[in-house]
Amino acid sequence: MRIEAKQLIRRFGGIIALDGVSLTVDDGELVALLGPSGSGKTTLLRLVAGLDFPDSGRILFDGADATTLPIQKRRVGFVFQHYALFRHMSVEKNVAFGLEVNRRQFKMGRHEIQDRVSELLRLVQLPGFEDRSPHQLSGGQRQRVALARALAIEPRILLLDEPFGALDAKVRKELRAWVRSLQQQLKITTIFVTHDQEEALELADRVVVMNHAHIEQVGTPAEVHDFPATPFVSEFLRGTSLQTVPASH
Amino acid sequence: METVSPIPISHPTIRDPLVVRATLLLVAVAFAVLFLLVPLLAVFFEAFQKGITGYLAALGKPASLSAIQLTLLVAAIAVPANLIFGVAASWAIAKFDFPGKTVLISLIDLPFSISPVTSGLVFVLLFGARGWFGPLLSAWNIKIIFAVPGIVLATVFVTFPFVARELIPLLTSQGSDEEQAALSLGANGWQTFWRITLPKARWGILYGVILCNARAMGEFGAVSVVSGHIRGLTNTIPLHVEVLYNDYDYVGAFAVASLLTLLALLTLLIKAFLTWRRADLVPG
Repeated sequence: MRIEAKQLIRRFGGIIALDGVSLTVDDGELVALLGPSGSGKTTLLRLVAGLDFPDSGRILFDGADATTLPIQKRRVGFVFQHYALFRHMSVEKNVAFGLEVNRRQFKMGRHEIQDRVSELLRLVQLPGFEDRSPHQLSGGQRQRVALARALAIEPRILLLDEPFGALDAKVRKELRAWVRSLQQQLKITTIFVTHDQEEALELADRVVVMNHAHIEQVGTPAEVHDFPATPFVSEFLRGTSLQTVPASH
Repeated sequence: METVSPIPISHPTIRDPLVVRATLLLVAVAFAVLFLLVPLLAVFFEAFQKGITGYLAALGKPASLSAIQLTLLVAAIAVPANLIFGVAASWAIAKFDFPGKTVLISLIDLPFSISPVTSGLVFVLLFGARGWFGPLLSAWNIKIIFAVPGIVLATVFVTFPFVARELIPLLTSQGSDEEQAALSLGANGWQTFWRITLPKARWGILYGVILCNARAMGEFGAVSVVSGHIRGLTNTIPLHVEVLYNDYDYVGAFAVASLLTLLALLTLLIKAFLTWRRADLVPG
């Protein structure tokens, strides 16, 4: 699905978090919102998700106005920074949640939901983890459960908030490559937020560099790396090397 | 969120002399025995002065039975009322920002900081025969003071903070990420509350409820002021204990008091269980 943000403005009290930000994300694209903390990248992600609403400006999904659409109606898969797994539910119940609260919409019986959950857990490489409890899982496993849970509702877009921030370096590398291949396999429009330059350059089709509630530059990893548009981008990306994950077709 | 917060372990860096350690330990144990264990045993010792038959006979008297009944009734009203209020108030305080939030938090604490006798008197002042609403109530033939409604009101007031005080810090620390995740998965507000917010706080809620219940059944001061001590009608268990004791019926007084003591022990036991149970619900 194609996402368009037009002149988004969002203030929190006296602080301006987004100051007229416009961005278009094409269908099937993987886009990174990159910037230091406080640059507005998470605010932009939350506005697209419907977890927050702009003071002015518009958000279009495939050309249709979604600015005031509540989060339940947007069908977005959102993966939270700390995963936000339901701590009192098993992995199976976590993944099944979206299907169970929308029974009418999905028209799935108990067995169909079970089958779908198993299928999703195989997809995120956690087969047989149905009965585990979230606190029995490692950070990487929790992240993959959160991803399976988000994918269960067949979202139109996938939004990831600092998806690898809480993981140690080795797991982070592995998961990055895996998320990239999963995204290509599902061909789902995906936006992720990161403050890690290498992560953005390695994973994304296009990188959106943000600073002080503005977008500094939008471009492919090679473009922002080799031809920084502003002194900030040049400074922010200094010292990072450009190496993309080999696309797995 | 990767690791469960470790239990703090003290590492004694300085080794005190044996004499000091032994003395401190002895003082602590002596205090615990003298002020906690001896009174506890005394209650049961006095209650069984005339054997098990004397104990049961004391409990079986109509006035005792009606006191037990009234206490159960009052708790059955006050605890659910404060459960509903406590959950609603702590949810609002933990999840939303609204004007007057700090005032509400302070108000919830009011019953803790005010003497129970004073809170009882407030109700007399409001609903007593010469109170603000006294003439209105007597015109409608409604009795609140020196009757069951007054006892319920006073108990609800005194036990007001227990559930909310337990839940506000819990809900605040749990944050609202899980609720937001539920919403993003298509759940409405109602489903989110029943399936996410309430279950993840269930042990904290239960903890608040048993503390609330213990106080509701044991409250003396506020209830004493509004009850009027009418035997068989407006005496709760704590009030009845006092009445029996003043009548020199020691076996009766301690037998009835032993019920409250057993309630206290049971409350402690459940509390310990809940504290242990909640320990593994820390990570998200």
